[in-house]
Amino acid sequence: MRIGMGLNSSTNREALRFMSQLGVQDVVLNTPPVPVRNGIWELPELVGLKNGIDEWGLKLTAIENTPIDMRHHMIAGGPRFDEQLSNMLETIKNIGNAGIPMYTMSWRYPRFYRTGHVDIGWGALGTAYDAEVENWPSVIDWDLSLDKAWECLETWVKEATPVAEKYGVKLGLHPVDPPMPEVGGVPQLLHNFEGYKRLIDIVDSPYNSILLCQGSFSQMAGADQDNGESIYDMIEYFVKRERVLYVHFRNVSGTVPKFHETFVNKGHVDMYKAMRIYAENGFDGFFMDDHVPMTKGDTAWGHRAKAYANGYIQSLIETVTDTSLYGLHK
Amino acid sequence: MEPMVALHGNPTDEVLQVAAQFGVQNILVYGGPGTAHMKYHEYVALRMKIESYGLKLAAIEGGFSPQLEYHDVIFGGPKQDELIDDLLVQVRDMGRAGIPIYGYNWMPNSWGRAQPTIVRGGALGTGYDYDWENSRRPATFPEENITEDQMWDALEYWIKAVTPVAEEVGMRCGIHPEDPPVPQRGGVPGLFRSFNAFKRLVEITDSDYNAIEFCQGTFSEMPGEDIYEMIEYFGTRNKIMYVHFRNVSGQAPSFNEEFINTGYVNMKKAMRTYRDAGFTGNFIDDHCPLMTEDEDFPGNLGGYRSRLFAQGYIAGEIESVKKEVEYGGPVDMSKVVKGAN
Repeated sequence: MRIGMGLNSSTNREALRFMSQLGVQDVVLNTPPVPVRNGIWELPELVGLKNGIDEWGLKLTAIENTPIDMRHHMIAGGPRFDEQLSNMLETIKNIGNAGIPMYTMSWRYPRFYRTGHVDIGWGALGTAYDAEVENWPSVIDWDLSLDKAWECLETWVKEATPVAEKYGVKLGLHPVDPPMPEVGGVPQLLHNFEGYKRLIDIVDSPYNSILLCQGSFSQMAGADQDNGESIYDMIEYFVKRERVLYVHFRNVSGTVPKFHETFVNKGHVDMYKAMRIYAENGFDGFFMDDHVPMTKGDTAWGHRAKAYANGYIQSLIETVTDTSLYGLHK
Repeated sequence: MEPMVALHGNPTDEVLQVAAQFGVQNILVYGGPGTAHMKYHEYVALRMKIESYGLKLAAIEGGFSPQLEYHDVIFGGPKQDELIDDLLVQVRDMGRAGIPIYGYNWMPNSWGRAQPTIVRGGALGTGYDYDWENSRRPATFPEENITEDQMWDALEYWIKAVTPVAEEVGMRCGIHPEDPPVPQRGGVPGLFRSFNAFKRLVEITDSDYNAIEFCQGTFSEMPGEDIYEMIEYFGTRNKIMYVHFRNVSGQAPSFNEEFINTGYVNMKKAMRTYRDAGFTGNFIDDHCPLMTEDEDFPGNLGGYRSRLFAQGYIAGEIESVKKEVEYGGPVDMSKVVKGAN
């Protein structure tokens, strides 16, 4: 098990040096600034992207998300489904040829959203969601049934998995966040345990896997209950089947329809217990801090809060496994 | 066992708010006799300001020993009694003001380092090299021939004077080791440079109020000593007031400071040793490496980012070693079949 960190829409050198000094082993670039040409990401620019990370002694392990307008018809069954599917397959091929071993994405449209912020103590702010105040207008001007939405996902998995295997890119899907069954007129599929079980059964391959955003899974209805579908049950189920690529290790106060994000060691999830489940079931991927609360005087990116979460995660990995992330103290 | 953070005197509202936000509930303030000649009511005001943020003023740390005016307390001399009387007034004031712990040192040359060392990712850790320092440091007191025996005599005299006062006002007092733990610097012996020196200290007066400011970093720097054995020895005797939980590359005469989990000490093993010894005090991050573009922190070495990394690590350690007890220890990875990711 390793330590990672992500960067959104950027390859900021200061952030990469920050990661390097914190001992980050795996870097995730979320929607990196790669130009979209004819609907795809091309190989030379992806190679440049990877080299720009490697030069800091880091490893670009995953690209997380392409711009949503490269794939929203594919996810939500729009008229440009075929065109976007074929462009995404070409993009995956290029990601593999560039030597980037994972591509993960959120199978959701519209994008991630929240409805506000909550004071989680002494003025620190966590993002908050409340279904009562959510007011997404419809974001699609075509009809989409739940069955049709599943058909889109199944087509994607069946088409993309062989390409991913051939080019050596593991694919993982992130849950809809917040994990609601419908958003903006679009039926959502990956908002519960059942949806994910169905996903991994479409094609039984490690190339059809999960980006286990533990935050989003913890927000799923019932994830805080001892009901066989708790966050701990879900982690165990998917890790045992070797279908978790990496983990967004963040914590939340509760589940939909109303929750807020909080500090990594303060939410409803016992993070120590969660970490043990990954370790006991042979998880061999990495953990990253993901969202962090806004604290007094911190930067927009949250350098301080990210450093805190990263240190906490390193500590849990090392203590649960009684090993050193850096091969020390043998 | 809880996290604690150390702040310069008169902590700002901003830094107290940050501590409260991250849940670091125990505050140590640098000061005390010889560094800030505060009166009783000023200590009360300091404590109340910290408590107004839901935090606890858990310790005052400082050292009168590097101040020349206290020469006769450290080495013995004509003004010894007069100076001790003045120090005891200050100790009483702190204790009466509700400060539970006072950590100080017996280091007339303060602490010392040589050139910094590049550590992970180009961050800087302080470095130390005995020859480097001593080729540059002149004699501190060129006219005096200072001996260890003389310093021990003065120390014992002080401990016997301060311990009853500490007991009376309910404030534990304890000594920080010599950092770096070397035989002498500038002709002044480094008294607290070994396991044996601290055994001798705690035997001067058998009281919980004659204790140790356990800078694990410095204990780790002591040549030839086993850090886990020292934690166990002093932890089981309730001699550890609180811990400076930092890591180093090795031991004197030459070492550098490291990130908390890249030094030679296995911090998990150390934390388990405190737990098993029955230690219930707090852990501060102490020194942290200098990270590029970090933001100045109103405390010891290291900025906000570097310090919060260490604080996150410490919070994770404390939580883990407490919780693992009910599982019977960490996961036995030799029995785990690794997945394909």
